[in-house]
Amino acid sequence: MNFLSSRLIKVILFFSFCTLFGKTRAQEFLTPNSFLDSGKPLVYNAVFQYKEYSFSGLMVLKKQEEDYRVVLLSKLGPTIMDFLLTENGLEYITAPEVMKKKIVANLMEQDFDLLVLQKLEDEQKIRNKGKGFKVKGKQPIKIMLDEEARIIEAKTNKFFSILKSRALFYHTNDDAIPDEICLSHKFVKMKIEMNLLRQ
Amino acid sequence: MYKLVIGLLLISVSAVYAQNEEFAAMQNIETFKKGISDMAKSTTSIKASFKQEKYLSILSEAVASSGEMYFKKPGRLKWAYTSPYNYAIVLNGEEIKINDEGKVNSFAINNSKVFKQINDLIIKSVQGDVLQEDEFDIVFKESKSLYLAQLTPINNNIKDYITHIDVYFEKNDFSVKKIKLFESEDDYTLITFQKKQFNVSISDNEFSF
Repeated sequence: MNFLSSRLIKVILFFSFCTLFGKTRAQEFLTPNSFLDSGKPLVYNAVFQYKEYSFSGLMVLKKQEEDYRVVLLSKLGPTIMDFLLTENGLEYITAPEVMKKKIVANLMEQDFDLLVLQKLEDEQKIRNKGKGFKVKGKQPIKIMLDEEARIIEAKTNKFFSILKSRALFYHTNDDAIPDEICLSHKFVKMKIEMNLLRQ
Repeated sequence: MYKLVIGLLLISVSAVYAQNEEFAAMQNIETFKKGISDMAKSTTSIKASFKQEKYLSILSEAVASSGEMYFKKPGRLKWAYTSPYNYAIVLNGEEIKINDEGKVNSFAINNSKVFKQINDLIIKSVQGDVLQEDEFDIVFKESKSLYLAQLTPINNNIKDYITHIDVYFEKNDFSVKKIKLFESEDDYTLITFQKKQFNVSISDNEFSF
């Protein structure tokens, strides 16, 4: 009986250990997601500032399969710009010619990738680092989470770059949708401030 | 109680019917053109509230906003959004002034040909003075209570932003009831005017920030 009990305890301990180990391993691989992962479109009131100039419009963000759709609307209605962020980069659907210049398109891609957290699509590139995560790749980024595992900051993590961008995500409600987003640059006086209008 | 239910049903059916009014080719285009021209000539000012709905194929519901519109001859127009944000835009033929939650910016219209064309288009649409066949291919239609002018811009600069515009006019007074600005078949902006007041006194201060 004692022998059986001791075997049984060992088996139970073994399975408990396996379960515990399994949980720990699973937690290690719990990666953060973009707030757009639900596929529900979000509408933000967005203000773009460059030096002393400012312009405001509406920004519609939506995840479409593995891509992210961004539509910028003038407040008078018509669409100003419409593009997709894909794993292969930015693909314009509608845009003024000036936005299609390579240098502008690259900056747009970097900023909006950060804003919609497109880099989190590739889980293989995500590494846990302290209180946050690093996402490796051609344009590496670093993200920080709050106690509720919501992303509160994302920034480019390229050492030799003059185009360093940082996005801050503010939550006033309990859900995972940021109520305010602010994207700014380290060396360029350009920023985007967004307030959630509708989800 | 059953009378109330029948009444509500009748109202709902009427509302659906009104929204889906059938349009056919206009019978007397010259009468319509004269009515519109007389209306535009006799109107010195317009004050109205408006409801704007932006329909996008990627959204299941329209993005709605509303506010007040002021128009005063010659060519001064103010759109003031009051919900869900405070945003006002003034067009005066020379510059575009924007008041965005208290921050004021202005741009010279003449610096941009496209801006100038869009400015003229908006001002003429509000007045109903859009039937310019040198600038648009126009199809004229009518329903029981409305006239409809379907305008396709000839100018490529405007075509890049707007594929066509539907302007609906009230049959009883030739005033503009609603404007639909199409970017594609599924993506369009619908502006509906309400509480229209014509030739009322509007202070010049209304057009300055």
